[in-house]
Amino acid sequence: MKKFSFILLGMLLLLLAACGQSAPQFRGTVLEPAEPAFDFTLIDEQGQPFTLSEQKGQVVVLFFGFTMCPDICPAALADLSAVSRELGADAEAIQVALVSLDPERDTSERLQQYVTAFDPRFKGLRGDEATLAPILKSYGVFSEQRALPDSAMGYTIDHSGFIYAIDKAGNWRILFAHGTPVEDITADLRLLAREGG
Amino acid sequence: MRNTISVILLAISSLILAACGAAPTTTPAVAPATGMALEIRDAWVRPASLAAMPMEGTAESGSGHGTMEGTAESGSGHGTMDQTTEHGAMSAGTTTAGYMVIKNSGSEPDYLVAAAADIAETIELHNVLMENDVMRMRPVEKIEVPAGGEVELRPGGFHVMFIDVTRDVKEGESIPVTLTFERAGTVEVNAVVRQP
Repeated sequence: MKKFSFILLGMLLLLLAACGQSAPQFRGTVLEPAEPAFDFTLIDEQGQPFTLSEQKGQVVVLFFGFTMCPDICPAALADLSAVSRELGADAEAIQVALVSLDPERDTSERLQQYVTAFDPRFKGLRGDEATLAPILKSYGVFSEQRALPDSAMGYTIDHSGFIYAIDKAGNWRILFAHGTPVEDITADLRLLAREGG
Repeated sequence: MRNTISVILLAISSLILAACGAAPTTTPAVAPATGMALEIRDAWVRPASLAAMPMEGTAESGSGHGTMEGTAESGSGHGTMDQTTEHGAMSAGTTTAGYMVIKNSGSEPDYLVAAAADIAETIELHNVLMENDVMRMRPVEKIEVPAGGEVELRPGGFHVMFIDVTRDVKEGESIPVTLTFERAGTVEVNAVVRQP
């Protein structure tokens, strides 16, 4: 079922890529027409509720991962940290948040320790599986726990590595594939940061 | 005429330099005893922090006392240290990863089978398989270094995985890592701690 929605997302991306001409100023994949991003409330790294729709006026950048993720998540967060530095004053209008796909292990303390190591302004969000499920479905996030009997990790989470940008009006606007160059993400987020909100 | 000579000289010196091979920034490690030369370059490790409570973030929420309350609310009440010191069958500790390029000038393939360092309780060899933008991390028993070729451990691919990191691993420091190869035996390298 999860796989199915992932395939759908892939097809959607292809379709979107095909009509890319319409918004040439963005370098990521632009979602058109922009629709309101699926709203959610999760718990942040300070233990406080974080509701997406209450962030209007801010550009919200979401990445789905987990703190024991060895490799891809640190790469994405390090990239976003570099983007924030590049953005300078425009970074004030942007809120980056890691949404944990491993609520079992990722406590708020752990998330705080993890995300703030990349950037003191980053947020780490968590919620139980029932809360997460509709969010993952809506954003087309693939996430699957996989046992690793031969590893001290016990299990890992296979997951997709997209970065999602939600504009100041609360619309999901842009999707970045894993490995999108920092300068491209920076250019797009700068445009979103300078939009009226 | 002079110009021609200096161009030729430049070309010759470039060739000589090129023959020197690997980036001069890291110390090449040559495996002892067997006579098989493995050369390891560009070894690095991502920084990792065990800081139980980053203090920067607490300014808004008031005193340090406020922070402690936050800790107690969200967990067992034993405090944050449990997160990094409790070890069951399943780890929930801090992790980090190490990368390098291993070159094998010998005529037989060799295999990286283990890595050891004093910064983590468990060190494994992992690979990341990426299909349709889905990342799947998997442990591997060994990593092949092809005969007369090289293998690159890099983000999004093969890496040395440090599980349950036991101390802060700070940017700029150098971590001694002992690598064990099936044929060449052990090789010591110094991995620099840095961001990609």
